[in-house]
Amino acid sequence: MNDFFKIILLYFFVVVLTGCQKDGNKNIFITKEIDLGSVALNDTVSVEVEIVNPFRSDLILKNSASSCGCTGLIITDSILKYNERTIGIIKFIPSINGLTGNVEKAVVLETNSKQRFHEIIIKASVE
Amino acid sequence: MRKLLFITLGLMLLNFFTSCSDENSNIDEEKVQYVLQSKNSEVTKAAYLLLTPEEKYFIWNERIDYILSNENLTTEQFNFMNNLKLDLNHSIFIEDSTEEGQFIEDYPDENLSIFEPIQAYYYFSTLANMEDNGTWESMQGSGTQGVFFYSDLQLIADVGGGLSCHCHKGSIVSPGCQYGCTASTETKYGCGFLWLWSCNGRIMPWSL
Repeated sequence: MNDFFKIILLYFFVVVLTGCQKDGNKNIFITKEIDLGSVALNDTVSVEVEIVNPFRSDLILKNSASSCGCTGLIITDSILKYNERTIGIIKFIPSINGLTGNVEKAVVLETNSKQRFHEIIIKASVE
Repeated sequence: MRKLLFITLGLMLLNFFTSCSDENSNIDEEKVQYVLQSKNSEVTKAAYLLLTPEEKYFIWNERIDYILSNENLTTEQFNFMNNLKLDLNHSIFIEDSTEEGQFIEDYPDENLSIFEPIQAYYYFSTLANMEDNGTWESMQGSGTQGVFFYSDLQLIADVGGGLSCHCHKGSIVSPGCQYGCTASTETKYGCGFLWLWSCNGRIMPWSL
C-alpha cells in the first residue's frame, strides 16, 4: 500500500512539473519582415510566407488579423505537425486605403504555442 | 499512512486549483497584455482585432478609470468620463449591434469638443501607456505636437487622404465604417473609439 501512495505522489510531482509546459519561444515565420519594394496604388500584390512548426507538439494556427483592411493573410492548413511547413499568402491591396508613400502594415497570427502571437511586418513604397 | 493520504489529497487539490488557471475568466490577460505592450502601432492595431468585445471593453474601461484617477479634468470633462464609464459595456463593441447603434446616437463626436484636441486624441485614439507617457498636459508642456506627437504615441489609425474608406472594420479605429465612403461622401459615422475619425481618411480626427 505504501508503494501505491509513493507512486501516486510521484505522479503528481511529474504532473506539477510538466503539466502545462509548452515549447519555448520560437518563431514560426521564416521571415519576420517582407519589403515589397515599389508597388503601384492600383496593384494587388500576393506574396508567399513560409510557416513552420518548430515545436514538438502540433501547431494550431488559430486566428490571424492585420492592421489594415488592405492586407490579409490566407492560410489553408491550420494544423502543422512537428517540422511541417506550409505556405501562407499575404495579399496587399493598397488602393483599399489609398495611401501613397512608404507604408508599413502588420499581420498577427495567434497559435497554440507558448509564444502565442507571431508578427510579420509588410513594407512597401506605394506610388 | 493517513499522513500520506492527506498529502496526496492536498496535492490533488493544489493541482486542480492552480494548473492552467487562465481559463476561469472571460478576459484573456495574455492577449490583452500583448495588445497593450506592443511597441509597434501596426502590430497593436492588428492584435486589437483578435480581442473579444469583452476584452475591448476591459481595455477601455481600465483606461477611463486611469484617466478619472490621474488626469486633471474639468468638471465637465469629469462628468463626461463618468457617464461614459456608466454607458460602456461589451455589447457596444459588437459590430452592428443595437447597443452599438444606441451608443453612436448617445455619443455624437461633437461632445468631444469639451476636450482639447490633443487631449481627446491621447485619451481615445491611442492605446499609448498613460503611465509611461504622462498626463496630456505634461506632453503639451514638452512641446510634442503635430504629426510627430501622434506617431510617437503609436498611432492607432491610418492617416492620410484616401481614395476610399481607410477604416478597417472591426479595428480600434473602425468599429463602424460599414458605409462605403469616399472623399466625396464623407460621413460622421466614422471610425475609432467614440468615432473620432471620419470615414474618409482625413488626417485629423473628425471635429478636432
